Amino acid sequence: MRPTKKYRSRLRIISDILSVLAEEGGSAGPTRILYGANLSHDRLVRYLAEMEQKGLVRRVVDDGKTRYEMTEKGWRLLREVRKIEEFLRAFGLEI
Amino acid sequence: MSFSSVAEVLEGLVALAVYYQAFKFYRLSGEKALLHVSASFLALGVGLLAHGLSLGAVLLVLAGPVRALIKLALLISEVMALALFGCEAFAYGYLAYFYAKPSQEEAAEGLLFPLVLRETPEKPPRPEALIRFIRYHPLLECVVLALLVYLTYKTISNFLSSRDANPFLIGFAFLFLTAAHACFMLSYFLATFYFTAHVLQLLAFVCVFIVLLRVVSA
Repeated sequence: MRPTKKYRSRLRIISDILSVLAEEGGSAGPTRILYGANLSHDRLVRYLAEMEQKGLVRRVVDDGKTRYEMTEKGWRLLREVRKIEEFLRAFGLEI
Repeated sequence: MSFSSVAEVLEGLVALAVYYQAFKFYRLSGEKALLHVSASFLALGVGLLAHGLSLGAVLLVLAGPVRALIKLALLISEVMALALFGCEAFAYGYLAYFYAKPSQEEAAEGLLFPLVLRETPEKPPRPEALIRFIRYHPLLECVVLALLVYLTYKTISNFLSSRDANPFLIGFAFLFLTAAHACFMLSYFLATFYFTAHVLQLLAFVCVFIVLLRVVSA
């Protein structure tokens, strides 16, 4: 089996963020995502901005608190990424 | 022989289905590992499909009345056997290289079919002599076998550490492929191994196909 990758790929990080949102029922605050996806604040902000721009998540401000909601496109991507992970895992590879 | 032709066409189609899915995943994710897997299965699929179809065509020609075409059919068979070896060596070699990479940061006998053509009608050729038109050479078979032993080790290790169903199926697929190629090698000396080899190879591709269905339908 190949050793675990030292660095996470972009897809891996996006998938981790989407997984945190999925675990929280589709939406979560930035702090929860930051801990769940194991990212620094700067990187999280950058990734969330990019994901929002691509329509994977939606920013919602409620009572002055910011939350991120996963869009239908985000759910679709997560499903596909899980298939990819499953396929690669069968060969002992990873994203 | 006709079983061999049908089995190779089926195996080729499964390999091409794996290529298609892996390439589709690669386009979605840009993940290089998927490109390596898809390239390997593309080579394997093209090789098996071309060899299986050409073998079927050769069998039709040999069964037909046109004697003049027999020499050509045997030549095609020999060329396609070499092409299949090339595709298999590339596919398994490329996968093996990819597995080995992070941890390490033809001779051909051109006289084969004249030998069979020289056989007199009273004394039909031994089945072992015919194997050489289909599988090319036992030494080249050794190259593919060595690559498969390495890939089996890697994929079985992966199954032992994950204990999941899909790694189990992929590990056993490579185990079956290794056993199949060992049988292909033995078939140069005893032709009955040829059928066993194809059954094992078909089983290997059935395992891969089940993984593909499980992943796609998940």
